[in-house]
Amino acid sequence: MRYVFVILMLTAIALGVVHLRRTQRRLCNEIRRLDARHTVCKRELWSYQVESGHLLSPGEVAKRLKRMGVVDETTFPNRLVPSDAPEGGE
Amino acid sequence: MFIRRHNVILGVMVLLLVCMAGYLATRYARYDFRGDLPHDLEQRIARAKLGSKIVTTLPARPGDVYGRGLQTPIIMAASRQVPSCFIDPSLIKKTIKVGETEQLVDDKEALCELLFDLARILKLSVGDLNVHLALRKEEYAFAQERSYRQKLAAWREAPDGPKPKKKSTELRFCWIKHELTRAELDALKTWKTDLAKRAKLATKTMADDVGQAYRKTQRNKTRAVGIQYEWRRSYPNGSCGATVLGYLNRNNEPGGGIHSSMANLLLSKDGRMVQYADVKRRAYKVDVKESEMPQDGCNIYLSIDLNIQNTLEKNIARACKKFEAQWGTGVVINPWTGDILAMANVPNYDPNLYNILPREEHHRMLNRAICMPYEPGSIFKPMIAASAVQLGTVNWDTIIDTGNGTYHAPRGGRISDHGARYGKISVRTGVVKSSNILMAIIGGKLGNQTLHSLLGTWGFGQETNICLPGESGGIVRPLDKWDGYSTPRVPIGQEVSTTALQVAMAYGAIANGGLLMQPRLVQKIVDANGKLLLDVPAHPLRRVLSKTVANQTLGVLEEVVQRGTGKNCKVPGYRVFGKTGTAQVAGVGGYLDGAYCGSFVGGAPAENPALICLISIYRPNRRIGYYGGTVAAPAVREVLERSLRYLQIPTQEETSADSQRPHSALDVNAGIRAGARSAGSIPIPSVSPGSERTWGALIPGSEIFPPHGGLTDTHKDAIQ
Repeated sequence: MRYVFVILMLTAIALGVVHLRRTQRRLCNEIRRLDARHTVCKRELWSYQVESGHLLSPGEVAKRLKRMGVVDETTFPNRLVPSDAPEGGE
Repeated sequence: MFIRRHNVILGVMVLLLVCMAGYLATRYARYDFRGDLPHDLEQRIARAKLGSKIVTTLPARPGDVYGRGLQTPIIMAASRQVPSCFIDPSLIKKTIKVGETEQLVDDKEALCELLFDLARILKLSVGDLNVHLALRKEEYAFAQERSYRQKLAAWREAPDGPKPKKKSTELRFCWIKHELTRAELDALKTWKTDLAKRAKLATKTMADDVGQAYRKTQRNKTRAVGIQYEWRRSYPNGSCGATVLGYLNRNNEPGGGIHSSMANLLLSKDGRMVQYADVKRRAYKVDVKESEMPQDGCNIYLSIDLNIQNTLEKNIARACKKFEAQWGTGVVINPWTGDILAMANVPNYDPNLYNILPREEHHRMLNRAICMPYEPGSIFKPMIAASAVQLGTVNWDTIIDTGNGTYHAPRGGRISDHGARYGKISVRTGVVKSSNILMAIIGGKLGNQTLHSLLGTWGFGQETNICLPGESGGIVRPLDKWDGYSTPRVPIGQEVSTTALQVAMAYGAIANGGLLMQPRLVQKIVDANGKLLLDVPAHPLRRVLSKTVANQTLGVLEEVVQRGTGKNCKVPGYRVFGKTGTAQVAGVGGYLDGAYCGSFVGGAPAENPALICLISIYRPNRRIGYYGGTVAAPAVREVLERSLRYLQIPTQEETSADSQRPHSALDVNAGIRAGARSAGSIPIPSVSPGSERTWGALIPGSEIFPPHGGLTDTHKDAIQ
């Protein structure tokens, strides 16, 4: 009876250890997978960051406005530049 | 019975233990006694330990550089990871039988197939790829051989260690293509998966030996091709602000601009992950002690406003093109804080394409606003005149006789007003009309020693300590080298050279009530975790004029635009002040014939200056125009007009119409608020004076940047 009990206990411990080991491996793999995913996301984020910077750049905004036909209210009509006559001793 | 059997088991175990201890002891004693331990045992152990570990580099990210919009940070330089393809040709091998033995030799057929596949997927030419690979092989072999010979020569001179061994000259790494597109990357991944599938299928369908060989070849091909992510620096604004920004090359080495001066903060430190590996080189545990986390670089927030920068660059480029100038430079500053809002140079370059810029075009990378001193000409006059008034030598209404347009300075040669005859004029009128003779007479009254010390007070001949590389302090010769010719010429901006930034800062001092400010380009430095490392405050250097004299000078400069040489800079709705300057370009042995540098420095609004803009156009085509009032003033006008509207600085009419103004006329931020209300663009709540934090907190990103107007009345008073 005692032997049976010892064997059962050992089997239970062995199963527990196997289960723990399995869980640990699974979690390790999950962490690795998430880590890889995290890296991919960061890469995408950095790309989007650059892309957004590109879209926000004044030159690009001006181009889009022009394409859309929106009048840039800070564009002023060319004024006449007076002749190149010197005034005083510049 | 149970106890006896147990004792037997225990006895056997004890016996086994004793045997094991005996065996180990004998082994140890034998080694120790016979002394046949290898002499490099510790090195071997270290090598074995090293061999059992896999070290992976964890690349860190260089920091970003931000400029600003009205209230929002806009990225100027950022790093992203891009996939690149490489191959390891040493893995493409096959086994052949030579007599009884088997030998590993290069599998040229497989390599050829691989190159064809890669060329198809990555859209490259097979011939180019082949040549590229052959060249890399030669280069690598040569480099290895040279390295071995150098080491051997060093060892022969001082043979203190083991003789260096010759390393294999077989190439193990070769880039195939940098910066793969998403489609190329996907195609490459699909190709690798397909190869693996084909290999698996082959083992099922082919004869054992043929299938195995095929599988091996396919596996080698798959293993030989790799994808590595590299950091790539991007500059989304292209050439906008390029000379201020600089660039980072492929090896993360800085090339000018803020990237050079802030390299220690921007650049990152790669980390490493050390893992224990089993006999098949499979990682099973991370060595936490030896592993290091990567340290990303810090983010730097500049005071550059990209919208103003863009306007400035466009207008300088337009002026350079129109007047066929050699180059042009310009600076826009906030006079109250010394913030550099824009710093532009034409011609400039695109940092995204720095590597294809030919050597003879490298001058485009120069930031001429700080590293190219030139004679300022008449834009220098107000500083000397104001200082003379400050010292009590003259006052603005002192009448000086400028004669008939020609003046012979005592031991100082002839000075003329270029055909104009002003006769007896006040100092005010002399500055407004930009009379050389009047300034020469004032110079004579001041004397060389005072003039020289005045230049130092205004910061000429000294670097401004803006955090950019290659800054010049300008040229102010030592006093003992000054002579009678210097006295009338220094006040008209000759015999001294200044940078555009120095002049702009000096005008900033006139505009803000007499305080010379330290130029501020970097506003904040934030580390990769968002922790604020440095918040650079506005820093006044010294008082150069009293508030009264500064305000009087501002009035004179306003007259220059109203009725003097700067009429081309009138901006409707704003009171603009400024000064023109046309300097002759000095060459070896004198001034060059027909070479001029036309400059204009202006600011607005005169009642409460928000901006100072200086533009210099170097060596314009004389036949088209060369006076500062012609070549530079219209560009300054355009920059001021656009920037004032952009910053929502109210016009005179708007200011007078707004009877509910909560602040005094000197509060730029109140102006911004009033402008915003009238434009109806940003809902601004009413706030008590001086509570800019409250106001700023309601605008996204404003915790990063203070409002453009810079300082409140309280702050300004504190500075004053």
